[in-house]
Order: sequence, then C-alpha cells, then structure tokens
Amino acid sequence: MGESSAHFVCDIAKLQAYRHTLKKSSANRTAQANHSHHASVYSPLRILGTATGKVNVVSPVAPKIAWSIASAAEYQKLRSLFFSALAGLARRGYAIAPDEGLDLIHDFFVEAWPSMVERHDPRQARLSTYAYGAFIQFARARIVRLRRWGKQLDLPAPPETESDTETKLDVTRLRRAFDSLDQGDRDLLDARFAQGQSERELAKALGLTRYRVRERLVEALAGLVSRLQDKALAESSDWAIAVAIWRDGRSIADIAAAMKLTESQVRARKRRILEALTRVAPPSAEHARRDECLRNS
Amino acid sequence: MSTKLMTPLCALWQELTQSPNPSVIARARATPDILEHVEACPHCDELNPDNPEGVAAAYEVFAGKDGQAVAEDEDAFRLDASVARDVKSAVRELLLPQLPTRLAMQATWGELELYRGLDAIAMLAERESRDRVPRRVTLSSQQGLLAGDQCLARTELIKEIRVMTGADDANAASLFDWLVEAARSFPALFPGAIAAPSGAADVLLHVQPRLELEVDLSAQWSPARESGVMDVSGVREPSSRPRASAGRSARNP
Repeated sequence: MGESSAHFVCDIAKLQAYRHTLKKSSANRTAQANHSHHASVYSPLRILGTATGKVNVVSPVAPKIAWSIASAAEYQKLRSLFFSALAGLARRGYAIAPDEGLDLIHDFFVEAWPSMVERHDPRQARLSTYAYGAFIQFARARIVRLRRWGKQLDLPAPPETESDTETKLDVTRLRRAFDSLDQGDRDLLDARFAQGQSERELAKALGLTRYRVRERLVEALAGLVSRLQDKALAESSDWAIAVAIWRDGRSIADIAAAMKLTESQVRARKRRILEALTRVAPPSAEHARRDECLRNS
Repeated sequence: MSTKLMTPLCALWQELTQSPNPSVIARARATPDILEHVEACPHCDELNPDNPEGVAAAYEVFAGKDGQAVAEDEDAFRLDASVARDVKSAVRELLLPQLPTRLAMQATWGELELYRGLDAIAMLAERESRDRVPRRVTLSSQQGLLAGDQCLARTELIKEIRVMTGADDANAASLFDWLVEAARSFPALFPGAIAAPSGAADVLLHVQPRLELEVDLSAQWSPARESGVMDVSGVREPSSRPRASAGRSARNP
C-alpha cells in the first residue's frame, strides 16, 4: 500500500491482501496464488483518501464520487452494518442471494450515499445508524424489483412432457419485430439470449449495474412484445403470454388463471418464446461486430 | 465445482450455502477472510444459499462482529421500525412494483389514500365474516361484499372508502374497482385476508383473525408472501424491538 505525504491510495483489495499475509500459512498462500485473478463486476471500491480524512471513491460504474468517510475502516464498518441489514431483510421475506447483495451494497454507495449524507442531520442520529435505515429502505425496494424482473427473465426448466399441442412459432415474424427495435435493445437481447452472456458479463461490458441491466432487458422484451401486438403479429396464445409477462408484468399464476392454463403450460410457453429469441440472432459473423458495438456503446 | 480448484475457503463456503447448520456457521464466523474470498473467487461467487435462513446466515457471517453489534443498537431498531411504519414508501416501493404494470399505472391516488381505502375494505371483510365458518366472503365490483346470504352493497363499500379517504364518489368508486382487480393478482393485498380470483371478475377472501391490529406492511407485502400464505413465523422481530405500526395509526391522524 503506497502512501504519499498528500494522498494515500487505499485499495481495499490491497488492504485485505496485507491482512492475508499476516495470517495465512504458506500452504494457504499457495492455494490463493492458484486462483486466477478475478474481479467481480463490482471490484472492491477504490478509496482515494487524503491525510485529512476526506475520501473519493472510484468504482467500475462511476468514475469518481466524493464521499465523507473518515477511512477505509469506516467503510468496512458500514459494509458490516449493511450485511447485517440484509440478514434481517432475508428473515422478513426479502432474501437476496449474497452475490446480488454485494452488488446492492456497491450500488448504495455509488447511487444513494452522496445524497444521504447531505440529508443526514447529526442531531437526529449517528451517521452509521442513519445509513443503516437508509440502506434498508434502498435495499428493500430494489429487492422487490430484482425478484420481479428475475422471474420475468428466468428460463423455465424444460417440461417433462409436452402436453401442449401448439408447437409452431413463426420465427420470421419474431425476427421482423426484433429488427424493428432500437439498436441498443437488439444488441442487448442478442447478447443475453442468443449469445448466452450472463447479466454479470453484460453489466461489465456496458459499465452498468446488474440492476440496470436487468431493468433494460425487461424493457427491451416489453418493447419487443409491444411491436408484435402493434403489428398484429400476435396471433397465437404464445404471444399473448409474452405480452402478459413482459409488457403487463403479470405473474405466471395470474396468466394461468386468466387463460385457463396450468402454470406448467404457461412456463413451457415462456421457455419456448425465449428459446425462439435465440433463433432470430444474426449470422455468426455479425456477433463480433455486435460485441464491438456493445463494448463501444 | 472442480475439486482441483477447491481451497479450504471454497469448501467452507460451499458447506455454508448448502447446509448452514450451527457448527458450519460458527466455523465461517471464525474465518474473517471468507468475505474477501467469496468476492474474489469466480466459483464461490456463483454459489448461493437456496433458502432465506441460509441467506441470512451468510450475511451474518459477512457482517462479523461489527454487524452483530447492530443487534444491540437501539437507534438501529428505531430506524428499522420507522421504515416499517412508513405507509407511503410501503405502497410506493413494495405494493405497486409487485402489481401488473397496467394496474400500477392506474393507481393515481395518493399512497395514504390508497392504503386507507384497502384497509377499509379489509376491516369490512373481517366484520362481515365474523359469524361464518369458514371465514370466507366474496368481493364483487358489481354487487359488493357477499357473505353467504348476506350482502353489503357496493354503494356501502364505496361510502366507507369515501369516509376513510376523504375522496369524492367517483374516486372512491374507481378505487374500489381497482382494489378488486388488484386483489385478483396480489393475494396478500388486504391485511388479515388472503385473496383468490373467483369467477371472471370477483375475489374470494379467506379472512383470518389479525394477531395484531397494527400491520407491518413490510411483512404483509414481502415478496416471500406472493402466494398470500399467512406465515408469521420468522417475520416477527424479537420482542425487545419496537413494534412497527400502520393502518390504524395512518387512519387516525
């Protein structure tokens, strides 16, 4: 960890690695070294601090944000509080997987922290306590949306038996609707469903949070099914289901009840539609060009 | 996960996600490097617990001693409870995002107004079902509240909404129609009842006696209750924590 008289760069990864060298046995150090270096989409936030204690934050998705945190130790303590908040939320029905929870904490620091600090009145509560309450409010709302989008985007398991006789999908018409989307939406859907890139990979490529990637995917699918309906292409009940899921945001149970289908049938059709999206992908030569567009967009 | 790449920390994390029993949790808590490892390891990063208790255990391990101190922090309890008491944010952030998009967009009433309206219907359903076994009533946009041979007319329901919300006749009527439609999509809409679609446009309400008059909307509308099942276990805060409140306190300024 380098240090100058005017600034110190406190890279949390380096701080943690320093702690590792104090504690790890040589066997563990060897094992650690065997891991290829991997940074999650939200690599540890870099904190650039001054000797006076003010810190600036550098994040993969936000170039520079000014914070008021005294030290890296304070940041670690706040993170601990937020993990505790996530544990409490999980027990109250707002469970979110740890990898997404890490992203949530990162997003809070990047998006909500600056304005939260401005609003904080030290006469009412300590900053850490105020931050705890603010994080719960931030996280709870995000978890609700993430779960909903997750359900809209998940690929159901293949049905054990094909009891539904309607198996023909008009891929030509789907491609027409797909081609009428904005370039950005086309590239996103192509990358996610045709190329099979994960949300995390897309987030990294686009410099977005995973939350925002999921939101954009749902918006793109909603745009796609709206075009199917607008162009009177939605002749089959499959597209009615697509509209209900991605434009109207209705649950599988709701759709099944309304269309007098079983939930399994609705899931099977949803799967079929998502699989059809993989067939409207452009020829493989185009993929490299679109990858380039994604990186540059 | 490939055995070749598995380190002791990988193995510990895998155990924690798959079977978070007390001894595994204790070992994980005694391993301060586990968080940094999970963040950095491409394999562990994708392993997640598949139940809420496992998720909570993982976060408590990450929180370490600093996070455990939160359990003793009275200020944190107070803020936590105030978040739960916040009816407006519950309606805006928890209820509306879980409804079909079209319904959410149609909700042009204020958050408090919307909540007071639905609480009014919930209280009427509770009253009308009191003598019935099982406690079931049907909510109908056309007819009102049907409890066996008894019927509380639509006009009476709208009048109750008007009184509780201060809305005019037209707004109260549209709110009532909206609530009936919303309940078909969201079983946990009404405190003290589980809703299910009935027929083409009605709603069957299974009423359960409220354990408390005050409602924790954060629990009532949690995503874990999307099926509407009344699962109070694990939802209650420890008794030393302040009680959250909504409903009555929102209604009575």
